[in-house]
Amino acid sequence: MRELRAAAGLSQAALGQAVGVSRQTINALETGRYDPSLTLAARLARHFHQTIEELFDVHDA
Amino acid sequence: MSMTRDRWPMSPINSALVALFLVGAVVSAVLGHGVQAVALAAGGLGGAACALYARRPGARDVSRLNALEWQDERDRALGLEALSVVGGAALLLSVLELLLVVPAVPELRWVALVQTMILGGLWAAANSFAVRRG
Repeated sequence: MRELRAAAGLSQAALGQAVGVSRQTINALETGRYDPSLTLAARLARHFHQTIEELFDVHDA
Repeated sequence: MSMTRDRWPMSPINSALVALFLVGAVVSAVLGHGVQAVALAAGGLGGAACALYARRPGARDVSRLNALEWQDERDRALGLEALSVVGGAALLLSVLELLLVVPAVPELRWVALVQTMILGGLWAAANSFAVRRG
Protein backbone atom coordinates (compact mmCIF):
# COMPACT_ATOMS: atom_id res chain seq x y z
CA MET A 1 0.00 0.00 0.00
CA ARG A 2 2.87 2.33 0.78
CA GLU A 3 4.17 2.00 -2.81
CA LEU A 4 0.76 2.73 -4.32
CA ARG A 5 0.30 5.72 -2.06
CA ALA A 6 3.73 7.07 -2.94
CA ALA A 7 3.10 6.48 -6.64
CA ALA A 8 -0.10 8.47 -6.34
CA GLY A 9 1.83 11.27 -4.66
CA LEU A 10 -0.29 11.13 -1.53
CA SER A 11 0.82 11.74 2.02
CA GLN A 12 -0.47 9.44 4.74
CA ALA A 13 -2.68 12.27 5.95
CA ALA A 14 -4.10 12.87 2.47
CA LEU A 15 -4.87 9.19 1.96
CA GLY A 16 -6.41 9.02 5.40
CA GLN A 17 -8.62 11.97 4.58
CA ALA A 18 -9.61 10.39 1.27
CA VAL A 19 -10.78 7.16 2.89
CA GLY A 20 -12.01 8.61 6.18
CA VAL A 21 -9.38 7.54 8.70
CA SER A 22 -6.52 9.19 10.58
CA ARG A 23 -2.93 9.52 9.39
CA GLN A 24 -1.92 7.20 12.22
CA THR A 25 -4.26 4.50 10.95
CA ILE A 26 -2.70 4.65 7.48
CA ASN A 27 0.72 4.39 9.11
CA ALA A 28 -0.39 1.41 11.22
CA LEU A 29 -1.76 -0.31 8.11
CA GLU A 30 1.44 0.28 6.15
CA THR A 31 3.61 -1.05 8.95
CA GLY A 32 1.41 -4.09 9.56
CA ARG A 33 0.40 -3.05 13.06
CA TYR A 34 -3.31 -2.93 12.29
CA ASP A 35 -5.62 -5.17 10.27
CA PRO A 36 -8.40 -3.12 8.67
CA SER A 37 -12.08 -3.93 8.76
CA LEU A 38 -13.54 -5.35 5.57
CA THR A 39 -15.17 -1.98 4.90
CA LEU A 40 -11.91 -0.06 5.19
CA ALA A 41 -10.02 -2.67 3.15
CA ALA A 42 -12.62 -2.38 0.40
CA ARG A 43 -12.51 1.42 0.53
CA LEU A 44 -8.73 1.43 0.19
CA ALA A 45 -8.79 -1.17 -2.59
CA ARG A 46 -11.39 0.86 -4.47
CA HIS A 47 -9.32 4.00 -3.99
CA PHE A 48 -6.30 2.36 -5.64
CA HIS A 49 -8.35 0.43 -8.25
CA GLN A 50 -7.10 -2.88 -6.84
CA THR A 51 -8.71 -5.91 -5.29
CA ILE A 52 -8.38 -6.44 -1.56
CA GLU A 53 -6.12 -9.44 -2.19
CA GLU A 54 -3.86 -7.35 -4.40
CA LEU A 55 -3.62 -4.59 -1.83
CA PHE A 56 -3.27 -6.66 1.33
CA ASP A 57 -1.28 -9.78 2.12
CA VAL A 58 -4.14 -12.08 3.15
CA HIS A 59 -3.10 -15.24 4.99
CA ASP A 60 -5.35 -18.19 5.77
CA ALA A 61 -5.43 -18.71 9.53
CA MET B 1 -16.43 1.52 9.55
CA SER B 2 -17.64 4.97 10.17
CA MET B 3 -15.97 8.31 10.11
CA THR B 4 -17.15 10.39 13.02
CA ARG B 5 -16.12 13.88 11.93
CA ASP B 6 -19.51 15.49 12.13
CA ARG B 7 -20.33 19.14 12.57
CA TRP B 8 -20.59 19.02 16.37
CA PRO B 9 -17.15 19.82 17.76
CA MET B 10 -16.93 16.94 20.25
CA SER B 11 -18.13 13.37 20.74
CA PRO B 12 -21.56 12.64 22.26
CA ILE B 13 -19.99 11.34 25.49
CA ASN B 14 -17.87 14.48 25.89
CA SER B 15 -20.85 16.68 25.08
CA ALA B 16 -22.85 14.90 27.79
CA LEU B 17 -20.01 15.18 30.34
CA VAL B 18 -19.44 18.87 29.66
CA ALA B 19 -23.18 19.57 29.89
CA LEU B 20 -23.36 17.62 33.16
CA PHE B 21 -20.49 19.60 34.68
CA LEU B 22 -21.95 22.92 33.58
CA VAL B 23 -25.43 22.06 34.86
CA GLY B 24 -23.81 21.00 38.14
CA ALA B 25 -21.99 24.34 38.27
CA VAL B 26 -25.23 26.28 37.76
CA VAL B 27 -27.08 24.23 40.37
CA SER B 28 -24.21 24.69 42.82
CA ALA B 29 -24.19 28.44 42.22
CA VAL B 30 -27.96 28.65 42.75
CA LEU B 31 -27.59 26.72 46.02
CA GLY B 32 -24.86 29.08 47.14
CA HIS B 33 -21.88 26.71 46.89
CA GLY B 34 -19.55 29.09 45.12
CA VAL B 35 -16.32 27.12 45.30
CA GLN B 36 -18.03 23.96 44.08
CA ALA B 37 -19.66 25.89 41.24
CA VAL B 38 -16.31 27.30 40.11
CA ALA B 39 -14.66 23.86 40.36
CA LEU B 40 -17.40 22.21 38.30
CA ALA B 41 -17.38 24.98 35.69
CA ALA B 42 -13.59 24.71 35.43
CA GLY B 43 -13.89 20.94 35.07
CA GLY B 44 -16.47 21.26 32.31
CA LEU B 45 -14.55 23.91 30.40
CA GLY B 46 -11.29 21.98 30.87
CA GLY B 47 -12.93 18.84 29.52
CA ALA B 48 -14.27 20.76 26.53
CA ALA B 49 -10.81 22.20 25.87
CA CYS B 50 -9.24 18.70 25.98
CA ALA B 51 -11.87 17.37 23.57
CA LEU B 52 -11.34 20.24 21.12
CA TYR B 53 -7.55 19.81 21.35
CA ALA B 54 -7.85 16.09 20.61
CA ARG B 55 -10.26 16.76 17.75
CA ARG B 56 -8.00 19.11 15.82
CA PRO B 57 -6.43 17.90 12.57
CA GLY B 58 -3.06 16.25 13.18
CA ALA B 59 -3.76 15.38 16.80
CA ARG B 60 -1.87 12.38 18.19
CA ASP B 61 -3.85 9.16 18.41
CA VAL B 62 -3.15 8.84 22.13
CA SER B 63 -4.58 12.34 22.63
CA ARG B 64 -7.80 11.25 20.91
CA LEU B 65 -8.01 8.10 23.02
CA ASN B 66 -7.39 9.99 26.26
CA ALA B 67 -10.07 12.52 25.35
CA LEU B 68 -12.60 9.90 24.15
CA GLU B 69 -12.57 11.50 20.71
CA TRP B 70 -12.36 8.41 18.52
CA GLN B 71 -11.87 9.34 14.89
CA ASP B 72 -12.03 6.00 13.10
CA GLU B 73 -12.25 2.23 13.49
CA ARG B 74 -8.67 1.88 14.79
CA ASP B 75 -9.24 4.53 17.47
CA ARG B 76 -12.39 2.68 18.45
CA ALA B 77 -10.63 -0.71 18.61
CA LEU B 78 -7.75 0.72 20.65
CA GLY B 79 -10.07 2.70 22.89
CA LEU B 80 -12.26 -0.31 23.63
CA GLU B 81 -9.19 -2.45 24.32
CA ALA B 82 -7.88 0.13 26.79
CA LEU B 83 -11.28 0.55 28.44
CA SER B 84 -11.56 -3.23 28.84
CA VAL B 85 -8.35 -3.14 30.87
CA VAL B 86 -9.85 -0.39 33.03
CA GLY B 87 -13.03 -2.44 33.48
CA GLY B 88 -11.09 -5.56 34.45
CA ALA B 89 -9.00 -3.60 36.93
CA ALA B 90 -12.13 -1.99 38.42
CA LEU B 91 -13.75 -5.40 38.89
CA LEU B 92 -10.61 -6.86 40.46
CA LEU B 93 -10.10 -3.88 42.77
CA SER B 94 -13.74 -4.00 43.79
CA VAL B 95 -13.50 -7.67 44.75
CA LEU B 96 -10.26 -6.98 46.64
CA GLU B 97 -12.00 -4.14 48.45
CA LEU B 98 -14.81 -6.49 49.41
CA LEU B 99 -12.42 -9.17 50.67
CA LEU B 100 -9.67 -7.08 52.29
CA VAL B 101 -11.00 -3.65 53.20
CA VAL B 102 -14.51 -4.47 54.39
CA PRO B 103 -13.36 -6.71 57.28
CA ALA B 104 -11.25 -3.82 58.56
CA VAL B 105 -13.82 -1.09 57.84
CA PRO B 106 -17.30 -2.71 58.16
CA GLU B 107 -19.04 0.62 57.41
CA LEU B 108 -17.97 0.21 53.80
CA ARG B 109 -19.61 -3.18 53.31
CA TRP B 110 -22.74 -1.97 51.50
CA VAL B 111 -20.83 0.37 49.25
CA ALA B 112 -18.33 -2.36 48.37
CA LEU B 113 -21.04 -4.98 47.90
CA VAL B 114 -23.28 -2.82 45.71
CA GLN B 115 -20.30 -1.58 43.69
CA THR B 116 -19.10 -5.15 43.04
CA MET B 117 -22.60 -6.32 42.14
CA ILE B 118 -23.09 -3.42 39.72
CA LEU B 119 -19.72 -4.05 38.06
CA GLY B 120 -20.44 -7.80 37.81
CA GLY B 121 -23.89 -7.11 36.38
CA LEU B 122 -22.47 -4.65 33.86
CA TRP B 123 -19.87 -7.20 32.81
CA ALA B 124 -22.55 -9.85 32.21
CA ALA B 125 -24.73 -7.35 30.33
CA ALA B 126 -21.78 -6.21 28.22
CA ASN B 127 -20.94 -9.83 27.37
CA SER B 128 -24.54 -10.48 26.26
CA PHE B 129 -24.55 -7.29 24.22
CA ALA B 130 -21.21 -8.14 22.58
CA VAL B 131 -22.37 -11.68 21.72
CA ARG B 132 -25.63 -10.40 20.20
CA ARG B 133 -23.75 -7.83 18.11
CA GLY B 134 -21.75 -10.57 16.68
